[in-house]
Amino acid sequence: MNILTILLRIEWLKAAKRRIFWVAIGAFGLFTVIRAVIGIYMASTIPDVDFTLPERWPDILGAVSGFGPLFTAILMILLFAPEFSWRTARQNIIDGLSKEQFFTGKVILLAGLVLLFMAVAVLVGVSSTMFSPGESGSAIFRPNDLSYMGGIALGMLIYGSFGLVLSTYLRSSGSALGVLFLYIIVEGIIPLLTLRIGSRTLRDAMEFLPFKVVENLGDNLAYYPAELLEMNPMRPELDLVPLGSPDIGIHVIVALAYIVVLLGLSLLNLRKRDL
Amino acid sequence: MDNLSVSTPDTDLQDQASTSVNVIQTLDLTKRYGMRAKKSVLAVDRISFAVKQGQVFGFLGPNGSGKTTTIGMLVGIIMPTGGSFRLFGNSDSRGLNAARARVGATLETPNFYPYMSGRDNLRIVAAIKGVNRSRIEECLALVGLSRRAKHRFKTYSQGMKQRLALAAAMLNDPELIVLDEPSNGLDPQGIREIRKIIHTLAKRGKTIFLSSHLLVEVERTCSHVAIIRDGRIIKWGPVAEMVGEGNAVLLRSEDIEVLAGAMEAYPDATSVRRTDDGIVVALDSGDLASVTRYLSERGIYLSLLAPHQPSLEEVFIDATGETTDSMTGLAA
Repeated sequence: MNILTILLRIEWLKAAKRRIFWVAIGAFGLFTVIRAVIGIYMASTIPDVDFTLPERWPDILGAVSGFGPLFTAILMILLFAPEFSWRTARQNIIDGLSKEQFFTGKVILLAGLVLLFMAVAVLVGVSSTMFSPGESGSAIFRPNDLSYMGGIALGMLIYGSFGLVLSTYLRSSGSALGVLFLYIIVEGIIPLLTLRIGSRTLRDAMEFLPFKVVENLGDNLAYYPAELLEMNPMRPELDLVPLGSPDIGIHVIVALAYIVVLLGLSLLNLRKRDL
Repeated sequence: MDNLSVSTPDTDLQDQASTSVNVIQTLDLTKRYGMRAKKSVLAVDRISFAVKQGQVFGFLGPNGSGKTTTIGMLVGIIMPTGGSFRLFGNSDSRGLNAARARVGATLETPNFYPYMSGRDNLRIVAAIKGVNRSRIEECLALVGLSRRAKHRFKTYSQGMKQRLALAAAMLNDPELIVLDEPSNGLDPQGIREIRKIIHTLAKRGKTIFLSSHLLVEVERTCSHVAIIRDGRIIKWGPVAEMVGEGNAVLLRSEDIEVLAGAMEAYPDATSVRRTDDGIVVALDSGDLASVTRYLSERGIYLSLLAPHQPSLEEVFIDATGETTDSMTGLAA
């Protein structure tokens, strides 16, 4: 068995026995189901609206892009940070894992959580169409749907990496969660402050703050330009400015850079500090 | 019998290293906590010692003397700030990781996942060490935990936690077993059982590194010992030689206080200690004739003069100047 399989097995053993893991997966599934049920209800009451796939992926995935990344960060913290207070991180090293292998295990856990959340979203989406009026299209996924999923998964990875780095530095789930929520508030305030300064460059730069990148990656208009074309002509009549969509290409690059930096910081800290 | 002799740590380490296979070897190993000079704490101060294959090596010292920090460095959870060490001859990062696969260790309190059963915790250790599940049952049986293996770790008593830690350490049938305070929290029966397991392992040729602050435990269990205080090793060697060294005599006379007072002023006496049987005097030389002459000149006549073989406790007191109230342990 290669080392990655062993690490996956170890992380699965640790996670599967924790109640919080199943509660989080269940809650994530429940939120996704609620969003799907609303869609099915609307489909049954509004003429010309069908709840069919692949047409309804933007709705289902839109919901996931809203709460999925935060779920990933919280669950990552709750699964990882206690390893320091229980001192099981040090025991894993004593038992024979290197610090790098221990860290790799956590990266595998993060990737696993993202895959699991996406799998739950797909499962809910596919099964909900069985109860929906209207006929499904020929394919379950269109290329745009897959790109949208990729964008959301990247967003989850950024949040999850943030959770991982906070867990490594603070070594306490309470403190890590506190700092996570504090940072979310601070990142929400910073762009408002820059509005007063009036510098366009600075305002543009705010689009690349970590969680703003996640928000942009989860913006469905960026993946479904047809919707944008459909909505924009109506907006001037309603006295609204036309909507734009973020450039996903540049956001993907920035997201990957954030993930690399966050994981790198986490590994550095783990290597340097005593357990 | 190996070639280790009673010595101070800085002597003949290089010779030993070159002439025999050391399972553990440290050279000026140092750990300083904190960066600022004024606030930093020197937990381990340039310690050097060697443990050879098959030895049951006791690492003896009071609480806070640097025992756990030293072990932490050996097992890879604490980064040394100076010096070096070798495990099975390996000193580079990759070699040490490979060498640690041949080690089973427990450190301070047993650390396991509280929400998992004893058996599931061992499954994780087994996955890390690459051993199959049948070995888990063997080790659970060996430490007497088979019946409670399905219960959660957080429901275990301290003694059961220690046993689970021992089972985890033995899971991969390691060549070197490092045990840090294995008797902590155990009742006399538990201490006896742990000692029995250690003896069984020693008979099977395992090298055992036993850190403890319990003198009785170390004296009864170990073939070799190093005494550490304030982060420095002040004495190390075979237990038998260590307790047999020196020129100590047991003296008794009618008035013990007068005798003790006289011996404290005796130039050749390095220490004078009262015991229930009389006073024990450590002498620089073994010149007993001078002692009797010195005492008779002062009108003190001895009713007993006998050679005295010190216990490890006495060796410890002589070496460290510490009291041993918290260190004698249960004579289970």
